Amino acid sequence: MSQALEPLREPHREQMLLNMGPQHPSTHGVINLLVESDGEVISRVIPEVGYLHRSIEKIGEKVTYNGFMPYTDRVDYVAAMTANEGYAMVVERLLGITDLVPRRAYYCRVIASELCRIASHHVSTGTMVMDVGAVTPFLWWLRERETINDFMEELCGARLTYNYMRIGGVMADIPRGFDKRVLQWLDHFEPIIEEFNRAASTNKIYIERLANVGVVPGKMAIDWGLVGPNLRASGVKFDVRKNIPYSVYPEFQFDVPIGTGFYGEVGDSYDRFYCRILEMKESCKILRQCLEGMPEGDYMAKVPRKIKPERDEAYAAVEAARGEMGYYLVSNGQESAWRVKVRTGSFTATQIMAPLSPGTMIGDVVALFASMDVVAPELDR
Amino acid sequence: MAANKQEEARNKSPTRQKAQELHALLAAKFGEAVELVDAVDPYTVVKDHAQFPAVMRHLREDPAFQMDFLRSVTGVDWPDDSIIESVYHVYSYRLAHAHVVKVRLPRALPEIPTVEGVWPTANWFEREAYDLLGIVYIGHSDLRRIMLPDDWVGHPLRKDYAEQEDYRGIGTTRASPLEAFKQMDLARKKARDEKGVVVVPQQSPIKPPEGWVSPKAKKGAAAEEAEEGEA
Repeated sequence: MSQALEPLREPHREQMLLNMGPQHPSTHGVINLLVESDGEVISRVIPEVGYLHRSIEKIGEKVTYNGFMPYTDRVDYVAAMTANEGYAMVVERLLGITDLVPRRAYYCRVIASELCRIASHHVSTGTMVMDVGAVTPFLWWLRERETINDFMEELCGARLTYNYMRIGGVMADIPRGFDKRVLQWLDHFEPIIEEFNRAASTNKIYIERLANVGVVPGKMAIDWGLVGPNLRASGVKFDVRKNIPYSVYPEFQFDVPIGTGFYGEVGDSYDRFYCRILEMKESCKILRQCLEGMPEGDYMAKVPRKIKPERDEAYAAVEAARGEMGYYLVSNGQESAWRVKVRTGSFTATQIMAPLSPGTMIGDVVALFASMDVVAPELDR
Repeated sequence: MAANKQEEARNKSPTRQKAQELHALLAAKFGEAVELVDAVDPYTVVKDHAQFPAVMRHLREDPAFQMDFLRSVTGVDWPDDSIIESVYHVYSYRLAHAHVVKVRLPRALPEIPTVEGVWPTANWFEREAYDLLGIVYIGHSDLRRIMLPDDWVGHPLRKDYAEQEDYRGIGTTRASPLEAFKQMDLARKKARDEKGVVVVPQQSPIKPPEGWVSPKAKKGAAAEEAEEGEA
């Protein structure tokens, strides 16, 4: 009797330190999240990065301007084409040959970039579904991604580190019949997005795992420098392709999807996920317009073999799959750059994990981190 | 000729005029403390470091600037002028304009107040600039190395950086694998020469089908026939 009346014991409280990574499956590459938690509830997350630092910026100072081109696709190997494009653009700006690049080359670049964006979102959204527990949709995406890899192989001969763009144009014209094959694939692919939505995006369990998790309000997203789909999911309508127009993007009709709180608050993990799905549809739209209105002509401008700009500097940004990818290039009148800085989306997306995580559950951190779409080599460079 | 090309490249830059206008606004407020340097993307140099925090806050808060997005913080090393530049790229989502601000710091002791209070995202960018270039951001909340290990020596993006020979017993340099192959070939050749071995090319164990003539032999036969014909 007396035992039953004894007051309940205070629950045992203790701060626990947990290492997620560097080789945790949910970190998608070698990133270490130091998680401090009380049971399941997280009090602090410290991202430790740098495991994939390959000093690409230092290499940029040692090789020639053309020689750095193959290194740029190692910056972000999930969407290498957009990384190529940014570097080509910044050197073209520095040389003042942006308007000499043939229109057909710009169209080729758009085709490659948009295909790459779709392929990158396949990996991003697919692994996100997988991290939360469903494997099948991921395999569907990888099946589609294989076809894109085939296209990339036709364009440039590689299936992972695509290197197609050159300073002043592209490496080669699109192969014969390429446009027909891509259009055929688009007809096949667009219904599959709906199929994917039925299987994963509208799944009740999936929605409940993501909705209202890791909400980033618009102001916080801007303050912490989020870019690309992560920024747009927070309701900020900004796309480099629309707002700082480059290449031939102003010629195409497409929308910029933003997060509207599809199943929860604006800027939650689900919004970040679903913005990417919507973006794939927009990329399909751009691809169709681009392939149907392809101009004839050269694919490469006449660029001197030896590139040697005067002492000068420029910054150029492209909308990569993970948002604004900026190249800051300083030249000193030599054959190699004096300084190359690559500004990537994953860097700030990992940084925001620290202020965003306190108060969430350990299981939510996995979903939250997956929704940020961090690619380790792009983060560490 | 070269100077003309540079001028041409600068004239083609669509952002150049806007940057000059933005600098004029800054100069109206801060006067002698700021200076414009022309480039494809012209930049403002803050000469008076005491004014630097005020300039950055002005960029973020003034209605004419509203630079809410800090694109990047980085540095450039100029050993000949013995300065290090800390470079800030800012952009305004609302007004859709960009600007570049620089401070020039002495190479021996590059110190500048942090802009973390203005843009929280500066935290990691400044850590990276500290790690790779050794710029010290005063007042930073967590100024540690970010890309390299904490006990690394030196700042790799400085032009005079010499890599340490080993890190915790692991060598940082490695001989080219091609060199090893060359050495191996030389050693074999030396051994053969010493022994006086004559190397006979290996014959393939696979026998050609009956009646097959190698192209080389055919060519030889054809040449012989031609010779006979001439004779």
